[in-house]
Amino acid sequence: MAILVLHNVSKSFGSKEILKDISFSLETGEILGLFGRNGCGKSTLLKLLFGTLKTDAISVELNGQHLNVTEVIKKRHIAYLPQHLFLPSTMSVRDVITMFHADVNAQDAIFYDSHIATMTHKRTCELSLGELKYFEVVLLSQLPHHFIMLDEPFSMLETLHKEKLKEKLLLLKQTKGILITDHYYNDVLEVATKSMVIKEGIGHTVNSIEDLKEFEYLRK
Amino acid sequence: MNIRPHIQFYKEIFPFVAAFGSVGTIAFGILYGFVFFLTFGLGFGFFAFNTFKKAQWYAYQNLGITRWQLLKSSFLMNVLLGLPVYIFLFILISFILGDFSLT
Repeated sequence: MAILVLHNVSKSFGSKEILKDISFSLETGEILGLFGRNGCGKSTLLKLLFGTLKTDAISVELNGQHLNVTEVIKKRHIAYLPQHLFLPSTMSVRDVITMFHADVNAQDAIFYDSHIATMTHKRTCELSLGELKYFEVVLLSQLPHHFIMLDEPFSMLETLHKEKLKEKLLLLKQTKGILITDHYYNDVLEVATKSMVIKEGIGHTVNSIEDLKEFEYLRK
Repeated sequence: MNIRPHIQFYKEIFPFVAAFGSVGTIAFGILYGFVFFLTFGLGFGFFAFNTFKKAQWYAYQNLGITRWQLLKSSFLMNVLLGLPVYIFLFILISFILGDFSLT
């Protein structure tokens, strides 16, 4: 089991303070749903944790040991699904799978996914946006990282893929800690074991849809 | 070490590197063109990748590969590919022009 603890993250862009005080913990076996209105800093928070954006202040512990966020990529602690599609468009699905996973078992787990099995001969640029997004999530899910951050994994997915993805996430959480941020809050709440909402740079615990209304993420 | 992502990354930036290197070679000759191809060409390739394919960085970063590691492996591949090409070009042009000076 692994546990990731994040303390007092803050980030400003110029004079605008986006994140003031965000703290949370995430264990393998948990799915943390992260909500917030557009521009509140959800994606920024994920990038800070992934180490691709410079932070004003951040303190991260992994299994009780201090973790330098600049080492997150190199040491493969956290995988990150960005909002925008990230796979090379010239490669075939088959080649992407074998490039990402040298391990045959990991390859098989992807090749035998019923949705992906139908598209392995295609180039990634030939896939629909929904198919691509689903493929990206499945691809990342087989990486060895203990934690995975998903930025809007449900967007552009058709209902069938969405249901399949939720099943996959519930299976995946047995071995990983998952952080999801998405505006499809019903889907996120369905799989999340705990949730938080960011309002004015501060993180608040969410226990129900009422809390999302309370913190003005949803209309009252 | 899995070198496939490094090769894939180099394939992604190569058109930009080659285009910039070709311009440098036409403008400055074989020797300086080669240096141009290795340095500014590679720099331009990185810049173009960052501009047109920015989201793809995450593919490599999820594989545990940093930008710095990609820069180093791309430089190495640039040397390995550029050296025989520029030597061939040098010999070819020298024979055509009958002039064996490098610049």
